[in-house]
Amino acid sequence: MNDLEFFIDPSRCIGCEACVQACMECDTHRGRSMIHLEFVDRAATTQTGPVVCMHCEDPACAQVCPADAIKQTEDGIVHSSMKSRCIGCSNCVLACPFGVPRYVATIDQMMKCDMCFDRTSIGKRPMCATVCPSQALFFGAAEDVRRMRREQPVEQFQFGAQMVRTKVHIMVAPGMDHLDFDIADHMPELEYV
Amino acid sequence: MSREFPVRADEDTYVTRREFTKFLGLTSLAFFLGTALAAGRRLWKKIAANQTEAARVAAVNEIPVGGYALFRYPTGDDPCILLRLAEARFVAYSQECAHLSCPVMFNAATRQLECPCHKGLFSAEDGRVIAGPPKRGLDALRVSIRRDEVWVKHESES
Repeated sequence: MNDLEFFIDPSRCIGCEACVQACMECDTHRGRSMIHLEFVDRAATTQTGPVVCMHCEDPACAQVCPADAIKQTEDGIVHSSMKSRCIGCSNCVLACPFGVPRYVATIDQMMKCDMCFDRTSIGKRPMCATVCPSQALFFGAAEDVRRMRREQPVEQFQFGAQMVRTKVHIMVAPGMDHLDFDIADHMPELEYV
Repeated sequence: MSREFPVRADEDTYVTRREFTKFLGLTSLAFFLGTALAAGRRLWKKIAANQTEAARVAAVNEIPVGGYALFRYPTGDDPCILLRLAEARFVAYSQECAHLSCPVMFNAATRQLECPCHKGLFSAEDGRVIAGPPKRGLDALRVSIRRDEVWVKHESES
């Protein structure tokens, strides 16, 4: 089971929100989805992209936690904040480069995607990946992905001078070995008159 | 990465041999210092009590035979009890029970000092333990009669 990995291809997302509904049904956080369905550029397109936790090798959320409440287990999964320790300061929310953790005011605690560790640790697939009809969220063997897809997986992200390595892969165009998140690339182009 | 705030869950609960030894050493040291402090305090009180002058408690005719008088000696924080067991026999003890320092009370019918907290019983004759949880007898004071007045003095253990 441990050779199964998570692959996200936002270009395949059809915005059906099946992943959000499936996440809500999980017993460990019933009624609250820990997956965000984001619009890529809402004014210009209906394209959406699912955002799950990327499970960084060196998680920024855990590094900045002043209460020592976020832990990474042996399988590389970065867990939600511990109820007994989380002080609800939202440091992790601000620190995460992917915008994954959310502060839940009703319980004064941070909650985030934990890759359904209760399921994946016993060989099952995460809830979202089991329901995604377009396989934008795919949980399976790396060789299957390579065989079936034109795109190729990357797990390195360049944020300015910092390279972030993750457990979860994102499908990108062939030939790329990392994704560059230079903020200037995503600024609207200004027309000077 | 700081050792105090590890990101890995297995490091969070991991205790190194050095940390465990340090904990054992410091805890033992704290226990030793606490015991030494308690022993030193008791020794200091004993030395201070030995240097206290004799004190007058009451006139002989103020206490009937089988009666008692409460007083404080050598300081205001040390309750004591004076008993008149016979016409010419006075004894005085610290009122603090040797178990947990509850004040003992005199029962003239049984000629015993009773601790109401845990039913410790002491003999009124010499202060020794008769029953209950105390491990040692009551601290006795030396009583003397001078000109029809009862005086007490700390009994030095030399």
